Amino acid sequence: MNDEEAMVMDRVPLLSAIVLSPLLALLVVVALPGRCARAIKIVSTLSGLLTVALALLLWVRFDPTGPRYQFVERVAWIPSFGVSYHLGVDGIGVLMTLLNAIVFFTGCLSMSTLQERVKEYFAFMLMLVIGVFGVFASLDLFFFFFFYEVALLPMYPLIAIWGSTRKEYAAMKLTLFLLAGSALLFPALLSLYWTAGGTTWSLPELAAFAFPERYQLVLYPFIYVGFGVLAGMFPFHGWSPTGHVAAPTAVSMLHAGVLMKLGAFGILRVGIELLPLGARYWAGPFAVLATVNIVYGALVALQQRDFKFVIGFSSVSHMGIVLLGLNLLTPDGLNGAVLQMFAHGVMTALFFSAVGFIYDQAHCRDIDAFGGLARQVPIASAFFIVAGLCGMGVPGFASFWAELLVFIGAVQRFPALGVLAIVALIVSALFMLRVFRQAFFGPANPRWAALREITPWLATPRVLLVAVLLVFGFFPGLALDLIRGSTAVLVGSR
Amino acid sequence: MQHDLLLFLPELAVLLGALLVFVLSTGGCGARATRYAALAGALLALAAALFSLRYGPTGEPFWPGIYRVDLFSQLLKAGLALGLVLTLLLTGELATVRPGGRIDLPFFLLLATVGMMLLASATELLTLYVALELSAYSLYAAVALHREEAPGDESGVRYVLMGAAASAVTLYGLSLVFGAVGSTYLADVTAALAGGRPLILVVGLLLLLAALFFKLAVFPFHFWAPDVYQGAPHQVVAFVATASKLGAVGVLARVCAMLAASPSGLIEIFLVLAVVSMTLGNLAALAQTDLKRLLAYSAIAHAGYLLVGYGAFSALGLAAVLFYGVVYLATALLGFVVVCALGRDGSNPGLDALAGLHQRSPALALMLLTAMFGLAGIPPAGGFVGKWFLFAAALQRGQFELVLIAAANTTLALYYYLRVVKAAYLAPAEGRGPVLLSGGERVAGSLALVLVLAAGIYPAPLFALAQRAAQLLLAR
Amino acid sequence: MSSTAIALLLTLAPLAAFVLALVVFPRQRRVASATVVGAGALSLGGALWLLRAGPMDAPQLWPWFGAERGTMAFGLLLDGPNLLFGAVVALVALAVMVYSLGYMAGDRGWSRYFALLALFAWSMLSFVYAANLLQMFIFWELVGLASFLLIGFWYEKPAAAAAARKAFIMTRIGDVGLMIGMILLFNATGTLDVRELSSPQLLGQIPQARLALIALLFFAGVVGKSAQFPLHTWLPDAMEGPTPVSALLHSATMVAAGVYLFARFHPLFLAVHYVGQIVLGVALGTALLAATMALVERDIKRVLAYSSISQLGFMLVGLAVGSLHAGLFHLVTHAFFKALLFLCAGAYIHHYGSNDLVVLGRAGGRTQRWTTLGLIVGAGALAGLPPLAGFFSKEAVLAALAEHQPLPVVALAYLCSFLTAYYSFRMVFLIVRPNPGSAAVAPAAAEHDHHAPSATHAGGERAMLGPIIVLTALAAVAGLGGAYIGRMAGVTPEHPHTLGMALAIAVALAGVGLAWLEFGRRGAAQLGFVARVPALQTLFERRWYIDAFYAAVVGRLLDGVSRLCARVEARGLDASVDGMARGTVAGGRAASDVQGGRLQVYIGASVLLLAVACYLVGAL
Repeated sequence: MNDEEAMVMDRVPLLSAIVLSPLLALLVVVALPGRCARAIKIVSTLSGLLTVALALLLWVRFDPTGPRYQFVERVAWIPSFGVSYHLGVDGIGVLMTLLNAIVFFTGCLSMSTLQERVKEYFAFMLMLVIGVFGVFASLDLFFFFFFYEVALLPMYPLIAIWGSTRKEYAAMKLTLFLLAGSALLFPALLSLYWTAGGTTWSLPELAAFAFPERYQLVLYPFIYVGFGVLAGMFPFHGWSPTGHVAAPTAVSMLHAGVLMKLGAFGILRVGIELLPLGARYWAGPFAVLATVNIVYGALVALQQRDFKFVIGFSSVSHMGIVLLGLNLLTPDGLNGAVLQMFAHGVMTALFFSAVGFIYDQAHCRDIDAFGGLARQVPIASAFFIVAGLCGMGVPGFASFWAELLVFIGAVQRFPALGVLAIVALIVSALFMLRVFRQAFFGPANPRWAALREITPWLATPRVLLVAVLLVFGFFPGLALDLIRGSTAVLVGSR
Repeated sequence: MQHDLLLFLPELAVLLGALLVFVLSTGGCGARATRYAALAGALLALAAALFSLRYGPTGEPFWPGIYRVDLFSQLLKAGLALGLVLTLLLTGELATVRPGGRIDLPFFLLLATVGMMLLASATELLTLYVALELSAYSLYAAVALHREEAPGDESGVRYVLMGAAASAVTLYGLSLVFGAVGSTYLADVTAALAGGRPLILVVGLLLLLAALFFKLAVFPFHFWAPDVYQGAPHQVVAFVATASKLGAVGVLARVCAMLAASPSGLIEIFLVLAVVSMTLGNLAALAQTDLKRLLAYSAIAHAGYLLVGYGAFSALGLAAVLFYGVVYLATALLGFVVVCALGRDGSNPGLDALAGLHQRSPALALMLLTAMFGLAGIPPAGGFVGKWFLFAAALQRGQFELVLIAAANTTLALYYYLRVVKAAYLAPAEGRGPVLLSGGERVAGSLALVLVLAAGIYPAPLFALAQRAAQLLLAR
Repeated sequence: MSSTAIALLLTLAPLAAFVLALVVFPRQRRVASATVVGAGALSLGGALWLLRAGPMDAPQLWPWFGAERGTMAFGLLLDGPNLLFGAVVALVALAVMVYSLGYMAGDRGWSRYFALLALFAWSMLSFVYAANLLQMFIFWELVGLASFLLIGFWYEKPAAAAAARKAFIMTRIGDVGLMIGMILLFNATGTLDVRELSSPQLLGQIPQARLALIALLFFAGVVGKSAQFPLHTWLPDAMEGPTPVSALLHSATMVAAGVYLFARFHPLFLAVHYVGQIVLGVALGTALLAATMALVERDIKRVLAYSSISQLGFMLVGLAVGSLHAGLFHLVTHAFFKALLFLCAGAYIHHYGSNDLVVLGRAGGRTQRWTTLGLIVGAGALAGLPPLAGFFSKEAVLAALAEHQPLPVVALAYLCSFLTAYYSFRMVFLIVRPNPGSAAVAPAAAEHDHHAPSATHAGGERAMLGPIIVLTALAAVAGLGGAYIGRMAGVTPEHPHTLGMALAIAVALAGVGLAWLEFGRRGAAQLGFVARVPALQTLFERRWYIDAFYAAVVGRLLDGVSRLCARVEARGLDASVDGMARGTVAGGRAASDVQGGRLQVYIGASVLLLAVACYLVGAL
């Protein structure tokens, strides 16, 4: 590509294209009549494919040695209030955008068998996806929060309508929990604006402002807990297993896979970057809570009998690793946390899509009621087993590196917590293997003789997710080289 | 003089519309004709107000110091005219209005609008009072037009009695102000406040505030709201909840602007009232099953949010309040479109009446969803940005705790808004037939929907107007 | 071709075969197995070529992973111990692959089985040739994964599924220790390069206590992988897997990985004196413990499993007293004769469909001539009878021990040697000298019920015979390679002690003799001496109650804690949130009830509040 072409390419607002292409799909979906279910699915899936392609392009064109934020677009939006439509990504943003695109696309594919209220489903899902893309790309605090809230609300109808198992309760609980987190953020974010002089909402510009130390100490918990609720931090994680259990497949995938990462991303972007002293001051207590997440989540998962509850609590445990990494405030910790965000996203998406497939046929998620699924539906079972292995931190999958980095950092900074977190790996293995043994191994249960094996079409998204896990599992440098520069800035910043 | 009348065009259009309706109704024409006449007047007023926003004619068409036309007043008038138009669009089928009153309803609505438009421009105490009463009495009459005598009367009587009490308080307050300042011009009052704060003047203004709080349904003057919302005809409530509220928002902004120079003491009162209003409103709304009553409590809570903005006594606060007032008008109206469409049989729709709405009328369900998102303050509806501005104003004053409470309240409120959404989107229709929207409802709903979303996604133009208006108020 | 390329090729060939067999040819069974066996042959060829070429420097290939303290490069390490162990692994792997062509004939999971063998071969070889501790750790874990999948190969059998889970958990416990140790070491030194970590200067910089901690944590990994006390319980259960798998993973190669790791990081383990003592204690204790369990076992595979545990302990004993040569030597010979024994056991099992020694004997086990020859040679090697392989290597261990340790310790080792000879020939005699008159006992469960004998059977058995013969030969002569192994390991072997050698022979012969008395001679009661002490018999049969202890105490404790957490979740956190929500709604109802009052009250209240407000403003 010669220079001239490169310049032309740069003029294409890539980030806006990523954020707004689902919006286009949303408009098309809303415009289509509800009976054109097939067309709606195709439009959504194509939009997912497009975002994957654009995200890959973003990844390829992102220069890790270049300026921190790239693909920056800035348009004054509410000039008299300092708000601008300001997009840009650093390496973390690129990785997260890629994650969202992958999960979005595979989620669309996984839902290709949906029959009921297709139009509304995809409309809400697209809204959710727009919000998530927006958060990852926003460099303006106003839009950051705007998109953040956009992403939260569709969860309610998505779970309450298409979910199962106490779905209305779960949907309400989830929404209220998350919005309660937002309630903490609302004053905190506004306060940041005024304290920094009340002229700009731009995150890079706010980051350049040295907030007074006492102010940071007071404000940081609001930001951490506010975003932390969405990241499933103990003791505010209760919404997450309940919500995941109730949600339909693709929603669980998006929710556990991507939405929970918004919380961690918020802590990173707003908390750690703007309030480094606060982050440092509170690192100890929050690291303890994060370790509780890891250990407690795994222990509770050991007692669960419902597939999705097991995954839900394992998510709590795995998100604990993210939170622990964030609280280390070392390059290793942050790299590990970000990598774990990515790995956990893909892994959980795989988990939920694997369980979703079984549930769709069996209408049962009781682990003890199954048996010998590996004989009945070997390929569908293999997806779950692969996800389980990844969840146990087996090398060769992306999460191994993430956990390793966090552990390396944690043992250095909080030795006791680090060792505890590593020991929790045993518990992780215990509960995961219990599921394997109960549901997939053992003699085949004649009750499920009618289960049919996954079709190649439905297997495609799962294969894709496995491939992503393996690629990043064997070549962690792909992701680490991308984010290293960005995390270094975060740790180095004041 | 011609030029001056041009300044008066929005009011004039509504007034002429009202006269025309009066003539037509006495002349024996049907409800249809009066409705169209009213609509024509309202549209003309809207056009005139928007025109004046665009080209900004300012001045004082009457006696200097009594009546002022500027961006602030015209912004309000545009909002009021919009509210009027939207409400009139909903008056196609007046199921809840007693047959004899159907022909009169537009007249009262127009008259109330005239009153509020005058209110927006009035810069003299007596004018203010007269305008206030004009709008109030028109609404008392309209509220009493309910089909079923007993409940209609009850709510009408309540409204009148409480309104009368508020009116008395206002009058007393005004007399105190006059006694303290020796003039009825607001400019003189402002000047007097700048010179110091004689107790008698402050108490007088406080009493004036009480009247406005009454219109806004702020605690402790909110008691009328649930009953009136429940007992009055749908369309009248729609007007009371939207246009009338905006009128009160505007005047309150003017009074607060006068007090902004030395707000000490008032801030605390505003804070307390804000917290109590929103908490009480939201809590009580949790328990409601009647959609109108739920909206009434939601309105009380929103009055609390507005007070958060007023309580900042700053340019940003006033701008936020004006912005929120306009957005709220559109959002609440969306809710009432649903009420009117579902309450076509004359009943008050309960939450169970919403069941299966997404099948019975996807468009209406979408409007309801947007309304609920807007009221809850969820983007991309305008309520989010509105709250952002309001709370930002409070935080500019460093009122972190207040904003925290307010934000917690929005979470609390989400519960009942989601219950509404749940009823509309989750519950099965169970044999309830499809809901057909009338043309007026369709237009009004779409307009409000677009406005809510536009304000949420690209708030800059409206907010810039509100900011300029707020600066004008404070400059005076 | 450079040796780096060959090393890469020989490790990657099984990976390719794994993917091909599992994903591309799952239905073309012959193609799948042929691919895997071909890859195995390729690996063996490469490994032998490298072994012949001798130790050399291999470059670091590419930076794999960067952390704050340093970067970890993917590289190959081609020095003596690696090449030696790599060749052994490749050899046994190929033997087992070929053997499996017969043993697994007709199994439904044929392609999956061979794919998993290839997966194992890839991870094991990659582990052996790794230049970096992290790289080793990764493949160490992947070996564990392959082991998990292969033990659970017949996952429909609940016992197999349970055994797979148990194996994974027990080794995971050790691995967690290893991981912590690795992280500590990395944080202390900033490198994970195997050669750098062997340098005493680098290790000398670390404080003693920290170094000891790291070494003990590493040892935890060894204990898990090599099934030493207290984590040994998984290995006997692992016999639920197909017998060739037991031969390859659970005797010759994978379980030896722990010993190999120990050898690799010999300087680290011996840097602090008391670590070596602890290791010695654990290893010797395990060797004895496992030997006692083997005395009473009737399942042929389990006897071999216990003996594996015991012999692994023996290797560690050699290493712990400082003799790299003895440990490695025994590792190599053990790989041959133990793989041989398992393959022989598999041949019996395949033919007679039972695991029970008594049943096999009565069914005419001795009529399998080549298999029986292999069994006798293997058992002889295990027992340490000259001139078989085991004699030399075991003698090396004993000699090293005698040189460094006090008499009682040495005596224990000889006791262990005696027991080994006894139980291995108990096994032999039970098969070749069956006693039809002995009490008939219900046969132990058979693993091999997955197919009926068929026409392919005979051909299958021929495929099994080849590896048995090759390994028989190796088990017979590998003992002569002691000097070569010493050279490869870069150490001079200890001179054999004439007295010690004589003693060792005597002890072994005593063990064999006792076995002959009780089981071999005509008219023997076929009742072991242990059986005469019922309490002891029960203790050994119940495996010293260690499994029961884990189930009763550790399992229940963990279950209790997790139950408690689940309760906290449901009754504590969830319930309090729900309660809060209910309370709020109730508050809402109360708030809306206020509305029911009379108009006068409203107005009065409003005016009153207004008056209060006026007063407040006036006061301020």
